[in-house]
Amino acid sequence: MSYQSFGFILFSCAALILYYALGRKAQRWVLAAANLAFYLIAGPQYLPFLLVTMGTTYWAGLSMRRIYEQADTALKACADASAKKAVRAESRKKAKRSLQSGLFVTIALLAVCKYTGFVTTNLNALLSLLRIPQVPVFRMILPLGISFYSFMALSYILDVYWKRYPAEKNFLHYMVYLSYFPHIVQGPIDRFGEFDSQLQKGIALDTRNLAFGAELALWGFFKKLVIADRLGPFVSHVFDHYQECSGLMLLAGVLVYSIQIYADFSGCIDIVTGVSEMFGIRLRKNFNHPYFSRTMAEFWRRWHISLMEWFKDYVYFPVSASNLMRKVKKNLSAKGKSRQAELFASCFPILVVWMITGLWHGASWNFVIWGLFHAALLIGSQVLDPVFQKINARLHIRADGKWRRLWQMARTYLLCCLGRIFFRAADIKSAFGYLGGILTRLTRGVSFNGELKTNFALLLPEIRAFHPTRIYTLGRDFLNTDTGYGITLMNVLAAALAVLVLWVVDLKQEKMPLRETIAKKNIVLRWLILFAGLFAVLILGCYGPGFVASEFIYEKF
Amino acid sequence: MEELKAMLKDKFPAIDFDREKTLMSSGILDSMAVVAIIAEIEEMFGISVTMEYIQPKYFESVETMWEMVEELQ
Repeated sequence: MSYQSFGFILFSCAALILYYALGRKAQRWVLAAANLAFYLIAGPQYLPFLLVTMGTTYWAGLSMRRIYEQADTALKACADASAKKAVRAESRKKAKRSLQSGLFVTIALLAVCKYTGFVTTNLNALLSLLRIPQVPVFRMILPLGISFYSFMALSYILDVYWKRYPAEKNFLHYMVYLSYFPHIVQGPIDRFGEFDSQLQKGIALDTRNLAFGAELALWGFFKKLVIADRLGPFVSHVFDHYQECSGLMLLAGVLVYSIQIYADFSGCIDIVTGVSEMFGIRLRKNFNHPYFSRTMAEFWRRWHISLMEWFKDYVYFPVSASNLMRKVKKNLSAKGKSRQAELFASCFPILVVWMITGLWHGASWNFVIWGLFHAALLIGSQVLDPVFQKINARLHIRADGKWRRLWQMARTYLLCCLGRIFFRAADIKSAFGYLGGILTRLTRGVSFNGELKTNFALLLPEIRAFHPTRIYTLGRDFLNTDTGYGITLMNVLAAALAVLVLWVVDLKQEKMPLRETIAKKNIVLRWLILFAGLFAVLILGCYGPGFVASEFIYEKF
Repeated sequence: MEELKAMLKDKFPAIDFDREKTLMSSGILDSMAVVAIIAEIEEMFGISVTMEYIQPKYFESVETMWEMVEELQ
């Protein structure tokens, strides 16, 4: 059941009615049943994987809780500091074993499901070089949302191990968190503490939650159905036929892809966040108008925020604070290489984070290169920052000047697009071919479908003679003609208008909370805006008989 | 605490550590800055900052950072 389907709307409405009708005490049970039903509809074959991750991490958490409670009791009986230290060390050692079991099962399951095909394919490539018989290529099923729920499960056991909160005793509470149907497929990657605390006292029916949630979900549908799904065929055409396209069209392809993926992913997040808001549960923020970022570091603080925060908390900091890092820094500093020690301390964790980020997005070398590209940009900007500051000071460039800000935004967007070529291309060869095509065929003219010219030639005399009915008929034919790039002129115009609306809304949201501002307007204007949104989705959206809705891009991760 | 404040002012001269009480939640300090501060704190006070303490709430202000140092000493 895809989030943009009519079935999902019906499913959410049914769950909502039961959720509020059966009272606060039954709310977790209603959510648990809804989560289970949602997952079973998606595919019963996925359920065992989810249950194994859920059961193992729940048990690991509970085991750590017991160990820490026993240690607390023992500490009260300890008289001297050395005895207390020994109790703490012993409890930490035992808790570590439980943590490791939880980590092992969760990571192993994720790795086996996601990377077996990748590993065996690459192993065979190596074996064929060495003329050794190849191994069979295994391709496991990829359980729905495994990348997302595994990360949520990992965050839970690590937080318990680091004593950020005690493990949950009630399995139902943990089950509702991990399998919550709005966030299980594409995130946001929520944290147990924040999520569960909202359900502690039960949630009362609040019309504001319902109205705000519905508005946000409607905006998400607009992004997905009007922008992403209209631009999708053009992007697919250009990336699939990159060898035949001119450099300009290839450039347009990747620029449009950046808009498509933003509308697609943030649209999905708006839908699920809006639905969750109707249940009175706030999900983590995942987007903050990333294309207004002035640096790549800022971009990654605004794009897929819950994933980047996950990597920061559970990979970047642990690597930075690891004993290995401490030893290397100490050794370098002892040799008088304090600058190198500082650089190593700041760069190595970034490299590790981006290697894993790349692989998390997909089992393919494209994603590894994409990750390394971003690591290089982040490390480069950090290393070269003092140089840039000196240049700016010498040239008297104001740090906050309007034109400088615009230039920085454009530069960040273009660098992001450059990385997106590797993200979208089918394989490395295609990615480099695409990049080469932009550079070598940039001056080649752009050719369109000949029919477009013919239809325009038929339309033009009618416009000059002003025959309204003929203009309408021929104009419709002209606008519905394929441009030769998998998209009609009508779709280009509709998508362009929708992108303009998206840009204006994002710009407004940078300055004010838009939903709250609209809520303060008079009732006529509020309903007018709501109906305009609804009609935009109904009239301009891609759906209906004969239309196969494309899956969300991040669904396959 | 004054020693800690002096180190922070020296490392981040643009930040007003006397006034700012939401260094992490308002995005004044990023993760790289936190790692740099941890390294300085470890060297200055001879402690090792464990993962329990690498949380935004301990890096919101000089006072919260000092609280962390005291707990770790």
